[in-house]
Order: sequence, then C-alpha cells, then structure tokens
Amino acid sequence: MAGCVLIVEDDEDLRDNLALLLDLRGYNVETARHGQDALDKIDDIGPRCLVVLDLMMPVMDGWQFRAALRADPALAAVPVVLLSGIADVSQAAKTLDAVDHLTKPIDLQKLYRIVADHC
Amino acid sequence: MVRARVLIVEDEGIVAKDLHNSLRSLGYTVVGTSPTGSDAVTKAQALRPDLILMDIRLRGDMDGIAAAGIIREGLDVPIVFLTAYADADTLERAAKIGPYGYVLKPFDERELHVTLMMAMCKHRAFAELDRRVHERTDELARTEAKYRRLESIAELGLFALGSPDTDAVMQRAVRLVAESLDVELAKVLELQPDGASLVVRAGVGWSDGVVGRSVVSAGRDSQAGYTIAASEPVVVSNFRTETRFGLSPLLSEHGAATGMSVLIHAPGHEGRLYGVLGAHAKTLRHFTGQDVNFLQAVANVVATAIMRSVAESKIRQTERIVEEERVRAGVAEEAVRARDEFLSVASHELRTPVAALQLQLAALRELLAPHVASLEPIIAQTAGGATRTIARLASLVEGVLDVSRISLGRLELQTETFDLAETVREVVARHGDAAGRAGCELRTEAAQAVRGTWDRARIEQVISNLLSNALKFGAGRQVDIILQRVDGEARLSFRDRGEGFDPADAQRILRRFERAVSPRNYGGLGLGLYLTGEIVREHGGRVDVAARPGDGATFTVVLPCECEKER
Repeated sequence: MAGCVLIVEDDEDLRDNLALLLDLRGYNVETARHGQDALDKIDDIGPRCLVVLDLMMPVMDGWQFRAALRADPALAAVPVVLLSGIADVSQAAKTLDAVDHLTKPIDLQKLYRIVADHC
Repeated sequence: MVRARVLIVEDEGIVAKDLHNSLRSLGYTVVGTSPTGSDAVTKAQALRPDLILMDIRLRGDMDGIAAAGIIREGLDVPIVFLTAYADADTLERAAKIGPYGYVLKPFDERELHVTLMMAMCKHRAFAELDRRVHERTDELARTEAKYRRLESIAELGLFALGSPDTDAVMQRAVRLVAESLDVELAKVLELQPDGASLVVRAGVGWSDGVVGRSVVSAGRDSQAGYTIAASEPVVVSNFRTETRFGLSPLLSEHGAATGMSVLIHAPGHEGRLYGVLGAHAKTLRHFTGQDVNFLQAVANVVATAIMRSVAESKIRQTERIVEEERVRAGVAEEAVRARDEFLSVASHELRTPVAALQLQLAALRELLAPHVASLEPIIAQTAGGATRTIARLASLVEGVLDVSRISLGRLELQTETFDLAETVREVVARHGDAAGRAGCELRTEAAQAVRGTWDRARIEQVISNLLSNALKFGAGRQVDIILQRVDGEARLSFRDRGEGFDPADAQRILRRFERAVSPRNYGGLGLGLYLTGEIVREHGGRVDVAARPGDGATFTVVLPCECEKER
C-alpha cells in the first residue's frame, strides 16, 4: 500500500502542486491549511506516515501544531519534515525534533528522497 | 640760630621778673608772662611759644599742672615745670601731662639753661619721631587700601569664574566699584551693534528703569564715546570745566560732578570692544592713578567673564550641532537598517510564491512528459526555459536575502571539513549546461585534494557566483578554473577572456550594487561579487582581482586551509 502524506501549508498554490507532484508518484496525500485544520483532518482520517509542515501559518502555526502532536501519545511518533522560508530552518528542525528540513524554493529530489524513506 | 621763644607762667612777680632776666641773658626770647593758669592757656594759643616754663602752684582755680594739660591738648609745645614743692603726689600728677623737665625753686641759672635745652632737644626728637610714625602709618594705610582693592578684584575674578551669569558678574563689578572708590554712581555700558550708542547693562546709584534701558551716545560728544575714540581711560575732574565733551543727560540728571571711564575689551566678542565701565561722584574729588588702575582691573575681570560667556555659548552651539549631526546619522542608520529589515522580510515573503511557481512548473513538466512525443517541441523547450528562469529568480531572492543578512550581521557559517577540489569539480559539472549555452569551454585544474574547514553551501555559492560571472563576461571563450595550495592557503582562480576592466575598478566591484561594466549591456543586481567577497571574508580569506581592459579578468579566492597539517 502506498504511504500517506499530510501536507500542512497555508499557501494554496504551493500546497496543491506539492500534493499533485506526490500524488503523481503514487502517494496518498492529504492537505491542511494550518495546524488546527491538520489536527481536525488527523481526527477524521487517522495518523499519517509523514507530515510536511510549514512553520509560519495563520490560526495555528507549525510550532504549536508540533507541540500538539508531541502531546498526544498516539501521534508523538509521527515523523515531521519542516518546509519553511525562514532563515534558520535547520535550527528549528533540531528544536522541533523534525526528521529533516526543506527550504523554499524546494529541492524536489531531496523531498522525494525523504518521502520515500518514511512512506 | 633763631632764638627760642618762651612763655613764663609764674604768679609771683619777682620770680617772674627774675626768670625773664635770666632767660634773656641765656639768649631766649620771652614772648609773655602769665600770672594764672587760664591766662596761660589763652596766651599759649595766641603766642605759640617754642617752650613754656610753668609754675605748678598758681593763684586761681587752675594750677600749673591743670593748665599744662589743657594747653597740651591743643598745642604740641614742650612744658617745663617750675616748683618749690616736689612732693610725690604733685610729681605724679605732673608726670601724667608728659613734662619735658622740672626746675626746682629757687632756680639755678645754669640748671635752668640745661633743663630748657634738654626739653627743646627732646621735643624736636619727639616731633621727628612723630612725623616718621605718621609717615609710616600713612604708607601702611595706602598699602592696605591697595591690598584690599587687589583682594576685591581677586574675589570678583573668582566669582566670575564660578558664575555662568554675565549679568550677575557685571552687577557685582559695579557694586565693587562704587564701594571701593567711594562713588555714588557706577555703570557698565554695552556698545550696540550699530556702534552709534551704548546701553546701560548694569549699574549702581541710578534711578529705576535706567539699567537695561537707558542709552548713551557713542559719539565723541559724550564721555563714554570719547573714551572709545581715545581708546584709553578718561578722567573728568570737573564736568563744569570739562571741554573735551559734554555732560550726558543721564549723568546730568543724576548730578554727576566728576568721574572716570575705562574700556571693556573682550577679544572673541563681536568687534572685540564690549563697552565702557564708568564711575562718577556727585561731589568734586580727586581720582588718583591707582583709582584709574583699579577701575581698569575691574573692567578686565568683566571682559574675562564676557569672553568666557562667548566661548561657552560657542561650545554649546558646537555641541548642539554635533548632537544634531549625531541624531541625523542615527536617523540615516535607522533608515538603512529599516531598508535591510524590509529586504529580509520581503525576500522571505518572495520565497513562498517562487517555490509555488517552481512546483507548478515541475508538475506541468511531469504532466507533459508522457505526451512529449506528440507535442510541439517548443512547448517542452519553453517549460525547460521557465524552469531555468525560476532558478534564476530563486537565486536573486536568495542573493537579496544574503545581502540583508550580511548588513544585519546575521551571516552565520555552518562549517565542516571537506575537500575543496571535489566541491570545485562538482559545481563546475553542474554548470556544464550553462557553459554550453554561453559557448564557453571550462578547463579545470583541481586534481590535488585541498582540505579545510568551511561552510560547504557558502563555498559552493562562491564558486557558482564566480563561475557564472566568468561565463557572463567571458562568453564564447575559454574559462580556466585553477585550484592550488600556496603558502598554507587555498587559491582558487577563475580566469575569463572577456573584455576585462580597468584595474582601478578592481576593489570597487567587490562592493554592494557595484559593477565594472555598463548595466545597459549586462543585467544583474551587482550583488554576486559583493556576496562572494563577504562570504570569503567571513571565512578569514580574501578575493584578489587582476584585470586588464581587453584581456579578461582573474578572480582569485584565497582561503585559509589545513594544507600545513597535510604536508
């Protein structure tokens, strides 16, 4: 069974095209507009095998969402990869215990590698 | 020798006559004979004898001792007592008068002569002594007065040093002048900028409303104006007989009869001359040279205070200008900072849409891929071109972001140890397509490993920048990339064979937004070389530039490496 990925990103174009590219590679992809939306989706569809997480988002940002995941024993182990335009994304990845990080614009080959490793 | 004139006071006629005869035969002039004490007092005043021969026992209310006491109060004349009774009590009373001698009755003519001679000598000696004492006392008083004046000038000077208020110094100065010179009127006059009049700035003895308001002519018709014209102290002994100038209405109203005036010179003050210090008395009196000197000394202290005030206001003005400059510089600095912050935020914001566009193109190309055979070739080419455009756009955004990081001091290196030769080969390989498009042959000499501790991503950026630069300006010709280890340093050169530039521009082009060539022919923000220089500098290295117009350019990155250890 193909792995399932949850993309949490507030920019619609980026979110949809990323979903399309992963979908074209046979992954089962869900998307969320922000942290709260993502938590709601997980309630409906169950945990994902990988979360691609933006940091700067409205309603609930990436840091808050990551804290919510870690607080829930059923979700704490779900791997998270950061995708952000902030300057010190590598530092944020360490702080948030992310498996890896991606900057914008996106190194697509690296993205495919990470997704393949976890799904 | 003039004969000494003697007054005889003797109530017994025979004795008086006897004395008279003896004195005449001894060479004295007898100016009179008094039978009573009161008559003796009157005659002594009237006749002014050189010596009085005084019997102690006299008829009447007043005996000789009492009469001598009264005479000596008004007249400095030696008195010799004549007595038959020299009892202790009488002698004691007589001693208090300060007699010049005693002659006992009945008198001996020779004894009388000696006693009178001694009395005259003693008196002359006393008079001389007295004169000298007076002389010294006067001298002392004069010295004391001079000292007091010097002291008061010193006090005024100290006050002037401690007080920032020139008006207070002037007011104290005129009070000092009035007290020390014992005059009723004193004033400081300030010359007005037009030079035609003087205004009373401070004063003592003037009616209300004069100080700060009253004006005196600065022409030669007034004492102040004359003082300015003569440029020296002026003394008026009597205004009624003064012919050099008239009595000003101000002095006239206040009843000035006599006075002095001196100039207040204040170098540093506009026009140097500040004004005039004046002292005037309402009754006639004589002013000495010392008085003039004193007035001038006070004027000099006032001048010092004015000069200090002028200097201080200049200092304050300078401080204000410096402060304003500082604020302006701060504002400019703040503006630069705000701009850098904006660039930082803006480029972060640009990253997301650039990434979105990149993904859209990637998705489009993947969707097109199965159909590429049936599509017009131009569609695939355009998609490929769009991808490169996105890469360039992304690189520009990163460039601007890096510049703002550098100016905000946020360029942080994440170092690791790696082989530069390998990295050079990798980056050059990635530019193979770009070189082909530019018509350049890339020739790399980087066989030997050169290890060092650097930020891999930043060093790749440096290589990429200089390679792009060489392809851009050396299009159609060979580009050499040479890595060497020289003197414990890694030297990585990029040699193009383009049009080159003036060596004088070599360091300028490493600055922000600078370029050696016209922006009409070549695009770009002028950031690549600046970033390259900053990154290399952050690594403790430098970028050397060698160029000649028409003969291409060589950029050499010099980095510290671990070459020494490897040897």
